[in-house]
Amino acid sequence: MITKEVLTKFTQGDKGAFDSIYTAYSPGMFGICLRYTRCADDAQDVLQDSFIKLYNSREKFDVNLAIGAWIKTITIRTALNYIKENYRWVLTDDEMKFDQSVLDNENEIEYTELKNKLLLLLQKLPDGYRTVFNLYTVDNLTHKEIAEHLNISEGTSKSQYFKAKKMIALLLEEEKVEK
Amino acid sequence: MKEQDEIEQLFSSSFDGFEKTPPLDVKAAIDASLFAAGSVNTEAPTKRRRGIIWWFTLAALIGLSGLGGGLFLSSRNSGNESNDSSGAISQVSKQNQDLENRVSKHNVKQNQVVDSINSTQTSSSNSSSNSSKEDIIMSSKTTIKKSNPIVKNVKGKSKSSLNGNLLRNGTGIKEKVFEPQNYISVEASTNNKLNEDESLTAVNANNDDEEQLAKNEISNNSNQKAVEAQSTKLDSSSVNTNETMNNTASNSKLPIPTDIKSQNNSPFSISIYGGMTYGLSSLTQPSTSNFEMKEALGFSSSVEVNYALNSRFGFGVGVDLNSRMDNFYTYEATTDSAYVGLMPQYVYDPQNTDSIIDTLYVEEYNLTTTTIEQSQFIRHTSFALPLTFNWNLYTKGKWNYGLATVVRLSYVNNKLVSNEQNLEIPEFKKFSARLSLRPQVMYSFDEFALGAYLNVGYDLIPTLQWTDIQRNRIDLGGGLFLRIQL
Repeated sequence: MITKEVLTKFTQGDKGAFDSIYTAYSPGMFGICLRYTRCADDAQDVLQDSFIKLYNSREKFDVNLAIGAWIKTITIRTALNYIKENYRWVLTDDEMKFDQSVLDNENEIEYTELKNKLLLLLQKLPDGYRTVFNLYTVDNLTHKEIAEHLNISEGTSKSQYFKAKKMIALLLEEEKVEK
Repeated sequence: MKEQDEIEQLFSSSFDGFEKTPPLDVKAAIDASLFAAGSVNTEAPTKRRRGIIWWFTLAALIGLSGLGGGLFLSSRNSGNESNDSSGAISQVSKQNQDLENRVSKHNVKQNQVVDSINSTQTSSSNSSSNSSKEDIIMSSKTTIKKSNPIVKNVKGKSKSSLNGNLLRNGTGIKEKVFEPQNYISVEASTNNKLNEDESLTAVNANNDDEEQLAKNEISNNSNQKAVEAQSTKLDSSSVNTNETMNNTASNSKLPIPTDIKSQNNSPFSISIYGGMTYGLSSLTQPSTSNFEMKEALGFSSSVEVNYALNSRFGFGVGVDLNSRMDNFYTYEATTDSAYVGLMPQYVYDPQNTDSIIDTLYVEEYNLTTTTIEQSQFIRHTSFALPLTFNWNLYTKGKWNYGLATVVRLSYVNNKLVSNEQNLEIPEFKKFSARLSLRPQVMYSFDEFALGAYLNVGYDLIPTLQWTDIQRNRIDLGGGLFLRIQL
C-alpha cells in the first residue's frame, strides 16, 4: 500500500519511496507494456523508460491524486512513443504480414494461461492493429482520443480497430483459443 | 457483430488487472540510470531511431538555409559591385562628355582629318606633338566603329588588360580595372546610351593606342611608309567596323551570350514553376476485384532556388504545392429483365404458307444490364521539398535545353471527399516520395528566362494504401516557368 507519506517522500526524490512505488506498480505496468509491444524485451525497455520518466517528473505529481492512474498514463504514452520511434510506425492493412521475429519469440515465452495466450496473439498483430485495439478495448479510449494520441484520423482508428478484430477472430480460430 | 462483442469482452476482462512481474534487471537498469554515482540522470538510456524521412527533411532544410545564406551573401556582394560600377559609369560618362566635346569640336574638320592623315605622310617629320595629338584624336573619331569588336572581345574573353585600356582616356586619368560583370551591369543600366558610351569609351582606347603609336612614329621621325601603313590600317578597319556598328545600332544593346552571363553573374537563380499534372494509375488487386483509379487534372507549382555548379550542372531546392482529386471506383453490373408484354406469334399452315391457322401470345422480356459506378473521391494536397539536379544539355544563342532530375519529399494531406457504397477507405500516409524527370526549354532575355517544361514522375512511396490493392502511379505534367538570375 502506497501511503501519502510515501508519495510525499517520492516527490522529494527519496529512493526508498520510489522503490516502493516500483514494487507496487511495476507488474501492472509491465502487463501494459507487454500488451503494446512486440516482445518481452521491448516491454522491458518501455517499462524502464516509463519509470525513469515517472521519477523525473515526480515534482509535478499531486500527492492527493491516485498515482496508479498517473503511472498508467505515463506508461501508455511511453509505449506509444516507443512504437512510433522503434517500429517505424505504420498502420498496415496487410493482414497477411506478420513479424517473423514475433513468431520466433513464441517458443521463448511459454504462456499457459488464457490471458497469456491472448497476449501472445496480440503480439502477432501488426503494430497499428495492436495499438488501436489495446487503446480502444482494454484501455477504454474513444476513437477520437486514439486519433489524437496517434495523430491519425478518427476514421483510420475505426478502420484499424475493425480490421484488428477481424484478424483476432481468425487467429483465435487458428489457435483454438477457448472463448 | 456478436462475435466482435465477445472478442472485446474477452480481452477487456482478461487484461483487466493483468500483471506480470518484470525481470530484476529492469529495476537495476532504472537505478543505474537514475541513481548512478549519487546523481540523477534525466535521460533514458534507450536508443532512439528516427525515420529516414526526417533525415531527408533535415538535410533539405539545411541545404535550403545554406542556399539562402549564399543568396544573401551573393546579393550583398553584387550590391557592392554595382556601386563600384555605378561610380565607374559616372566617371566614364564624365570623361566621355569631355571627349565628346573634343571630338565634336574636331568633327567639322573630319574631312580634313583624312587629309591631315594623308598630309602626315609628307609632313610628319615636321609636325609638332600638338598637331599630331589633334590628328590622332580625329583619326580615332574615324575609328569609333572599330571599338565594337573590341568591346565584344572583352566581354567574351574577359581580357582585363583591355578593360583597363577601355577606361583610360586621353586626359591621363588613372587606369581602372573594369570587371566583365561590371561591364554587363553598365550595359544593363545605360540601355539606349550604351552604344554611345561604348563608342566613346572606345574612343578613349583608340586615343591611347593611336596616340602612343603616333608619338612613337612622330618622335622617331618615321618615314611616309609607316604613316601610309597606319592610314591604310585605319581605313580598312573602319570598313570592317561599319557592319558591326550597323548591327549594334539595330539592337538597342549588345546581346550577351548565355554562357558568359552564367560565368559572370551570380550562380544563383530563382525559378517559379506552374502547371498541370495528370496521373496514370495501375492497381494490382485480387482477381475477384474490379477497382480502378482515375484522376482529374491537378495543378502543381513550385519555387526553386538553383545553384549553378558550372555551365553544365547545378542543383536546387525549393518548396512545392500540388493538388489533385483521386477517384477510386468500381463497376457493378446487374442484369435484369423487364416485361415488355404479350407478343403474338403466328402459326402458318404448312400447306399454304400464306395462311395463318393460329395465333399464340408469348410473354416477352427485355434483358437490361445496368452498370453502377461506385466511387470514392479523395482530395490530395501535398507540400513537398523538391531536390533537383539540373543538367544543361544544349545552349544555342538565347535558347537553352535542360533536364532536371527531381526528388520530392512530400507531406501529404489526403481528405475523403465522398464515399459511395462505403468502399474501403484506404490508409492515408502522411509522407511520400516521388522521383521525376523534367525536360525543359527556356529562352533568356537579360536577367530573366521564360520556359516550358514537361514532367514525368513515379511515386516511390504511394500515399494511399488499401488492404489488398497496390497502386502504381506515374505522374505526367507540364507547364511554364520563369527564371530570374540573381
